[in-house]
Amino acid sequence: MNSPLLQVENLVREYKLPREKLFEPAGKVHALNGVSFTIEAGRSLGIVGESGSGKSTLARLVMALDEPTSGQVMLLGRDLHALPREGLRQARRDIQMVFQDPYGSLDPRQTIERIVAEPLAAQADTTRDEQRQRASDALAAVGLRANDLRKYPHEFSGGQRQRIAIARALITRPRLIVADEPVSALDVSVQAQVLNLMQDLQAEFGITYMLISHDLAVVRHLCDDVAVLWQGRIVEQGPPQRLFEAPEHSYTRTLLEAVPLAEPRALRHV
Amino acid sequence: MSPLLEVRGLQVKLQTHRGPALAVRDASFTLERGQTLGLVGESGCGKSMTAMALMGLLPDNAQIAGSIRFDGEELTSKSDSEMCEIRGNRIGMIFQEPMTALNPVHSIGHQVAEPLRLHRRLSTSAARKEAIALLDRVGIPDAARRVDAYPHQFSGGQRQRITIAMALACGPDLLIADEPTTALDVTIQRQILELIGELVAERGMALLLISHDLGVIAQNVARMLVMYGGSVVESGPTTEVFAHRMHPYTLGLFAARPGLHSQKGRRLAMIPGTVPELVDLPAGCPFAGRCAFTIPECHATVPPPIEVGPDHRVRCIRLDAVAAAKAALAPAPSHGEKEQQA
Repeated sequence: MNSPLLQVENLVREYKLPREKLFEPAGKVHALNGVSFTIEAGRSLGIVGESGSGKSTLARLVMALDEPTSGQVMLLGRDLHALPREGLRQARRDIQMVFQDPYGSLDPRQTIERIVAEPLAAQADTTRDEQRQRASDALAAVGLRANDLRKYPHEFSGGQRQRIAIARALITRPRLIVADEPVSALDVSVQAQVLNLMQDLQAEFGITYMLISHDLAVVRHLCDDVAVLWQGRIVEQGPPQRLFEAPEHSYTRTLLEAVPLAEPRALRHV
Repeated sequence: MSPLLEVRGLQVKLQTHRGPALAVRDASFTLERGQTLGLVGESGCGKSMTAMALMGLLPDNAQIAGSIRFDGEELTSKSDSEMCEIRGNRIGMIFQEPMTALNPVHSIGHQVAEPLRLHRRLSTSAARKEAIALLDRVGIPDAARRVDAYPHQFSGGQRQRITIAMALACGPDLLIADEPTTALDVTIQRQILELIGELVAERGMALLLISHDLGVIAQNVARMLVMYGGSVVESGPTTEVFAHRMHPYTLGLFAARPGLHSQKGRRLAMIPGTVPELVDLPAGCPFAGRCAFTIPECHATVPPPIEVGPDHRVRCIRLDAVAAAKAALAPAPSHGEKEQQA
């Protein structure tokens, strides 16, 4: 059996709008409108699009944090949304997530050890000592020290917090990490450190990313394929070289043209 | 004639629980009507503190030294009520997050009309009429009908247009935009920046644009200041700074950006270490210690601004070493920035 790492098939998610008239059915919004793609192990996929394009809905469905209206998410051949609760818990070993805001995603009242070891604790097949050891290994992998385990999130800067969030994602030794805007809350110089780290982990642990970002340069830096999401559909997909140099869909072109280039143009008002 | 805005030796000292910290150190710049100036740097570099000092909105624990002359008047010695006469009237400001800048319980028409009633003493109906004209100018479709709508009924980009209408209401001479598009999508960002550019040209205002994004700076302002650790480490015409950047921090900042045309797998250049807290900044050059060119002298003395090109100044005492290192690296095409064209 040789199933792809992640296969998403015809995924649809509708949300009901609040009812506006008493005798008419409530309206619906199609957050995702039939999205299909495949991620092979080792080929990271970037998802780009603007607010409201369905990026985050897609992440929630892939992580099985939300139920699709229809369609399938297959992780290594298992349909995540058809698995029983215990099966899903075990499947989560292979897929972890890193969120955008490192200030919101770490519980301020927990020690770094509890935060980083939590995905392992949820798997309930390791002892506390093993968990501590793995947590300290995960911290080392992201460039933090073992004695940081006893500290609390407020003792760290934004970039360090994002490293902690990445360590938490690494601890179950996942195959796929879904990263939703992992560097957009960080300063440019800190962003470079986190991007380099993510690249190292790709090489070192064979991790594949599904990277959601509005920043085309970040996607270009980490991904082998890019899918452009627009109004709940993938309008264009391909390797970044082709997509960024010869975009076919008009929306991809609009997106590319809007990126402010770091070269001064002939200035209108001097 | 004196310039519209002349900042000389501005210093902002904050009292923190760990002792006094200099949030802005010896910043000087001028800005004329119709000119555009960009302030670029990372969190905590002092760029927003500089804007707050200009607006007279510094926190209570801040002490200010140096001089801010606006249209011939000294702002640092003005009282709160005198600053109220200037803020929103002669200096307009646009903030990063339009939803927090707008009051959710008042209609947008009421909010755009407020400075007109306050500063220009317009009647309610005249202010409303003017508000509709302003909303129309900033591109709110069907402004006459939507003037009574509330902020939550608008998208993020439209909300930012509304705050721009508020900032413009009294026809300010100086517009300060602090990260005006950071919360917006790129396509919307472009529209908002174009709108600001048009309005600045059309009304002959001076623009101070604060951003962390070198792309935004490159496309929208004629002159720029790079700030680090409260200090203006490099300043000059945007084209000049982009083409001949010299300060080691500016060089590090440029190299750390992933480019749209860079190759996957290429490692980004990193600036070693982390930004120290303001209280812990070295007494001399704020970048000393993180900088590859540091010598003992860097820690001791604050480097003076040195002119390296037309109107292009760099605060660094190791410029010879930096120039030599740059020459050794050239002519490698530098990170897709196409500086040869400049």
